[in-house]
Amino acid sequence: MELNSKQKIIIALKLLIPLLIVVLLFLGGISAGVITFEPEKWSNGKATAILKIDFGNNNIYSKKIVLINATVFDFLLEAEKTGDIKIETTYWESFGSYVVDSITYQNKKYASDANHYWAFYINGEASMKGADKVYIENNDLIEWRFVEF
Amino acid sequence: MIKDIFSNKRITLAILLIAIGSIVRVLLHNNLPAGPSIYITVNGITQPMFMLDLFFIVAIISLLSGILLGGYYTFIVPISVMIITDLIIGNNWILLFTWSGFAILGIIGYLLKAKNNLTIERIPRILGAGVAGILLYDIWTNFGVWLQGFGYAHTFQGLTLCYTMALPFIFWHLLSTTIAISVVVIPIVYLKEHKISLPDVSAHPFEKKTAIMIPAILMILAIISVLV
Repeated sequence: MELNSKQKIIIALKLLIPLLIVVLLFLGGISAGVITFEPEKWSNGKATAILKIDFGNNNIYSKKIVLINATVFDFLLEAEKTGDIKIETTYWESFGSYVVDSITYQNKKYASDANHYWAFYINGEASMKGADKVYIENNDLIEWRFVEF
Repeated sequence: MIKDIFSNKRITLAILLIAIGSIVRVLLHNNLPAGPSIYITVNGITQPMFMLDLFFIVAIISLLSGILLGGYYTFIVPISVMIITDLIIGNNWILLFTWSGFAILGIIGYLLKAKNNLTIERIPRILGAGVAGILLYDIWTNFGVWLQGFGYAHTFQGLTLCYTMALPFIFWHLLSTTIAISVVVIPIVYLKEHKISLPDVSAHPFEKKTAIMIPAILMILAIISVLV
């Protein structure tokens, strides 16, 4: 079916108006400070932190670790390097982050399953970001807890 | 036997879509570039505006399976892609939510075809249906995340926080899939407008009902899997 000029203009407007609205919302977001181009703020110095892993039943691993520009995940990997623990992780596409599947300590594997998962807390507060996205400041307390649903 | 299978155009096209979707998803997995340095602050939470994932690959395969094949294939194709790739990449408890979400996208594609919407003047409607499908998928799957818990309280505030944290994925899904629909569906409309026929997708009424029933059953199973 051949379209006349009026129909073509209407189709073009139906496509252009939503596009224009999106562009205007984006520009409005920038001018209002809601949308920024600044990189995420992170620690750029040496951080000494306590890494505490709570396996449940008062079985707790604790270690003081010093790293530079490091995330929660880096601190866990550093603990693994000492040979005290062994971790297994999976990159979750849907979260854009690594998730800890299991931590093996004293020859016992604590693996996430239908009733358990590994969660981390910084200074007692749960984080909504992935462990590889959260940077540690000096004197932070990193806690990994084997949480039961 | 194999010759008989491949002589059926619908099955051949379905196998082709499953193969393309599976190969692309597996190959691009872990090879995605970093997102742009654009950040958004909502409810006091600053996060990247776009979190890149491969949603658009399966989304476009789902829509195409609905548009080109219809019937049973609206759910068989996307779910097959997810099963094959999940076996390689891995998945978790949310799979019933994602699988049913993609089956819903397949139905949207099927409805576009069934209502004879594949014409140039309906392109805005196709894109609109794509956007609606993406929003439906994200609302549904993130509802699953909140229902499961995963650090979110089972309160209205917890639900709001869950959707706020999902914004980078929703923005990326909208951007990537709108571009993908434009690249894939618009040429199909062009071909159809120029009298190049698409495969016949006339399905038996039972097949049509099944195509709608299966995603609904998957959605109910997803809720049950979380609650039980």
